[in-house]
Amino acid sequence: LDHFDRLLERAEELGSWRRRYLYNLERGLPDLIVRLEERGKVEEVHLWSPSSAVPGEMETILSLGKNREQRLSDLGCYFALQILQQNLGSLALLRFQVRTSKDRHPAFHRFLRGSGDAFESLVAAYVGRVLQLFLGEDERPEFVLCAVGTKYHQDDVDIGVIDDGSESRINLHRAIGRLSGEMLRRASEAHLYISEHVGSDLYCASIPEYHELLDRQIQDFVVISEMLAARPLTGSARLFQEFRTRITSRYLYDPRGGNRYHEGYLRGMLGEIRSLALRPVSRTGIHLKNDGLRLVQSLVFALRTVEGISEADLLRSIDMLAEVRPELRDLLAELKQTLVFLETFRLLYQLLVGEQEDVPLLGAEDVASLRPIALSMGYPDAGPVSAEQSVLVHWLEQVEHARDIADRLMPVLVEHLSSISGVLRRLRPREQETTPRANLALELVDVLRFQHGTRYWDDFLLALESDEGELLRRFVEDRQALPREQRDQVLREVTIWCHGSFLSAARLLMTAKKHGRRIGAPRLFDDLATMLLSSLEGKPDERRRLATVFRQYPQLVSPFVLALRNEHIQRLEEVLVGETILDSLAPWRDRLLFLAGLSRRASRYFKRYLVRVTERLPIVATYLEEPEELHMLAKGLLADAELAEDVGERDRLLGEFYDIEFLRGGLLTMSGAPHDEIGAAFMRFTDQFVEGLFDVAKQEIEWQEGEHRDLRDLLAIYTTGGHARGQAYDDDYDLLVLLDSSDPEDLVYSNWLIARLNRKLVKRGLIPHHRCTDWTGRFVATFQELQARLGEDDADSFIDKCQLLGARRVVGTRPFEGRLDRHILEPLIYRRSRHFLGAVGEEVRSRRLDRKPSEAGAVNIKEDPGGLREIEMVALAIKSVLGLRETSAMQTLEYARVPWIAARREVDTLAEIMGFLNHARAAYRLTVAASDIVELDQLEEAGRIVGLGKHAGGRLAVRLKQQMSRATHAVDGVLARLAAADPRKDIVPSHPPIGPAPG
Amino acid sequence: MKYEMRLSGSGGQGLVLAGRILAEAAALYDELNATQSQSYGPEARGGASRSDVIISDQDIEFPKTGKLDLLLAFTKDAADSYVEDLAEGGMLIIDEDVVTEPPAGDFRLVKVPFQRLGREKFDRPVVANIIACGVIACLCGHISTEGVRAATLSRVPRGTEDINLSALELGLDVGRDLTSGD
Repeated sequence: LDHFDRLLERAEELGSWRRRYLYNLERGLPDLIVRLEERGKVEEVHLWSPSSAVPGEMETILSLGKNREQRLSDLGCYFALQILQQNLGSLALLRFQVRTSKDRHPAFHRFLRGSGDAFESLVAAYVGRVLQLFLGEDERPEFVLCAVGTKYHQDDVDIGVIDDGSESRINLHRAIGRLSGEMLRRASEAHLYISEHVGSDLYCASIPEYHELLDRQIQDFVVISEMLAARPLTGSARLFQEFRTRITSRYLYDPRGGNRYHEGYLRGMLGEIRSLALRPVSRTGIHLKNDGLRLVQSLVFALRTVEGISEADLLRSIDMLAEVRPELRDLLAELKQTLVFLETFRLLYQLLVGEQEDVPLLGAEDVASLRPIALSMGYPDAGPVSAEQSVLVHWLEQVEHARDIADRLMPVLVEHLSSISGVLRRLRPREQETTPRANLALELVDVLRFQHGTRYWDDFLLALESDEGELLRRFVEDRQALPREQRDQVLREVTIWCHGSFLSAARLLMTAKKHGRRIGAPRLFDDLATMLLSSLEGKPDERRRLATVFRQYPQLVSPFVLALRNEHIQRLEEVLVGETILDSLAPWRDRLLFLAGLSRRASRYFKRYLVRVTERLPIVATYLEEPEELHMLAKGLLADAELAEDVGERDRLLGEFYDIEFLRGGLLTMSGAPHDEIGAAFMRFTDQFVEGLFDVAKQEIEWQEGEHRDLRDLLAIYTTGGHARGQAYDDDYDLLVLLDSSDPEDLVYSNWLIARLNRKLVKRGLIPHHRCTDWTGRFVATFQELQARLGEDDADSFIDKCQLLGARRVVGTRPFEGRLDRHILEPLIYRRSRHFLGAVGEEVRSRRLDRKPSEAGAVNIKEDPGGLREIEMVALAIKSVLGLRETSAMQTLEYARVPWIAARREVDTLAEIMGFLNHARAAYRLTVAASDIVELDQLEEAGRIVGLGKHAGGRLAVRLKQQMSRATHAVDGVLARLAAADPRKDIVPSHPPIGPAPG
Repeated sequence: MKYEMRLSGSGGQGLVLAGRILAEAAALYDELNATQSQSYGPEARGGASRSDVIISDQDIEFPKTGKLDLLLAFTKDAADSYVEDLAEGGMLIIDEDVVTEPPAGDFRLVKVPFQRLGREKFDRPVVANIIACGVIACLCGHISTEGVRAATLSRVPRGTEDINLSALELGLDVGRDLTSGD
């Protein structure tokens, strides 16, 4: 037993699996050795080294025991000795080879092949003999036991059983049950998945039973992959051959035609490949199978059926593929290398560490557990980078590489699918092929039933999307032509299909959305959405799948979600809330949930921006909770616009910049950010946008029309109204364009320029209003015209003064602004501030008298007494009296309270109310409508945004009325104080924005 | 005697490993018959995880479970999905922090904060599966303490034996407390 001690010592390096084999050896080996010695057969078997004649030696072992229990124990001990020593030998050889050759991959390959072949031979010999022990002399059917899983992993053995279905199969069934128990006890656990899915509740299934299950439906393509990988372990070679001929061969491509089963399997595999390629790697660990290995295996499975290759071994299959598809040789070589690396890593993990596929990587000690694998694969420590860190990085690279290879091989598979697709032929018949043509809706039912569970339908969806939805129209019409029962049946099948693939479902729905009206089915999208969403049960798997599709295809999911009605969105939200499965998908689920919630809460006005931005930049749909990311994108777009040489491109990029910044502002408002910050941001990006567009307009005229005039110091664009004051979310854009020149050509040119600018603004949804067109008939007013106009003291002139007083320069120079101040503002407004103040007072009074009260249940937040308009006019009055050069009404009030202590309380009140009203207005525009008339029963979301918590809508309605009432008193108070004030005495002129002495 | 159990939750919670430990403990160390099967094919792709274990002192005819004597649910979805498979008078063991609204029915409900225990006692919620092995070994009454210890050692990753054995002992203690309260 010195040998056993040595084996114990050598096995120390193996993973925990060694313990169960050593346990069996400790219990049974002494008796086995005694029996061998008694029979003089010690020399006939390899106990202390791997054997190359396992079957024969097992026969010798079998001949020793007196009864079944002894024989089972002896076989179990022999299996344990062999598996331990085979693996120790393979590991030693691998370590030697990786250290003595330049390229590690051939060593990995030899290691895999050597250990895989040895393991499978050992299992085959063991299974055959143990089964025979349990069957004894019992009558038995013709049968074959097949290995159907990978031979490169040893913790379990996937077995499929085929029999002839005769009565004696019950004996075989019982024997296999015992074999399974024995393997769990003394060898590698047997899994008989195929048996659980095919036939009755027996471990064995006959060829007719396989037919019964698989003829009508493609079923589970995983079962088919296992069947295709089957190789006999023990039993009838004839039956195995018959199984291949009658069952598995039909999944291989046949150039003579009749590829219905092959097509179904391929659709299943393409769906599987895409789904595996989309699977994110967890943040807390790696999955040895699902992260990359299964993807590579699936690619080989699919490719070998395309080429009609029945070889079960994946590595050999790749070699055969390279022979028949020489144009893919390089890609297949990469595929093989990745497969070999991932399989080697996985086998080494199982041999040296543990048997689970999920490997947690939560801390340094978890990474350190990979060290034996790294050293076995020949990775050295390199300075501060340990061997295990290197191998882990390399593993992750290989996983990425597997996905990259999948991207490159998918088109090969898709092209083949298109060339053989009977599905497409049936569902998109040419007119001349079927006369009278079949009912397409019924054809679809038939196809979907057979293809149940397959998830690759891109070719069919593409056909639906093309030809202006003509095919879709035919489906809809054909369904309508059916009796009600059959119509429902069609809907049921489509529902099952949609539920099976959210990606396909989203594409189908968006096709219905796009073409619904044209094909006379305007409700089709809505009906399909109802059907799809009511089929969802709110299971974690549904959440996982939805999150996966969103993560990879935001360009598809985002418009789908944004097109849903609110009831549908609510259902989607219900489904999305709850447990998630993969930790790395949880953020994507949350982002999808956010998009859905935003779509439900957003007004049409705000949603327009959301739709536009996500259509152009779908990735934005995944950043909605990250305003900084959006800002980064916006800055990138602006930089891109500034560098763009093509004016059209520049125009487009500027528009996208504006939209994304608008969206960001809206999102910030909805998340409760301070409104004054958002107002300031709006001023900034709108100015940048208009300034940029002005340049584009200039360039267009110069390049397209050959016109150029240098008006740098002569032309200026002022924004007035809400945009000038930093009032966010105004959809009209008040402009005052001034020209300090009387040259008629300058006037024509600048008017031309502004007309072009207008067109560009309108394209973005900003409606330009040019106040001066009323009295000039042009977009541009000259200094002289403005002077003449403001010299008047009528009501129209008063409005123009208000506009000018609140105007902010967007385009133009400081010298221009200086001249405007000196020649127009100063003499016509600031020096006549008393007059202006009187006009403000009169305007307030007459508005209150003339204005019809708002309808019950609504307030006009701008025009009603105490509304924003009055407060803004008061701010203008303060500005004129104090000589302030500040465009923001809020800032004006802020500045005024410092030098004008007597009015501080009322000014503070107005500032507070103005801030509140602006915030409420913004919230209302983003969640209900872009209107100043606020419906008081629609304020729930807006109330929440302004921070009113429970019963937010009702509370906001009450507060709006209260604050506007308070504002009327404060407006009156400030105007009265201004009228009575002597600025030289009452007001301390200490603030920088104060301009020349008030008149 | 035939005892059927299902360990259910989501991928990454180590439920397949736990099922293998319990099956191996029964089959190898306690010399009973056992089978273990797990989610497969499309079901396994979904991210949900299920591991069925049957223990018997007779031959086991087929690995498919019928009515369950014990259901362990690590997620609400698993509890809701499989509770109907529980036999009358069976046992539903839930992670009480996750399944906060357990289904009602004619079964014994056992609440254990598996993941919290893993986090608080070992700073590793991933050992929740091994704690569950200890609890189940105690509560099902057919798996010996020695058997489940040995099976745990032969199944957990190398280098994690100590922490997993401690987690198992904690589970056994919790199981004993629950049993003594009967």
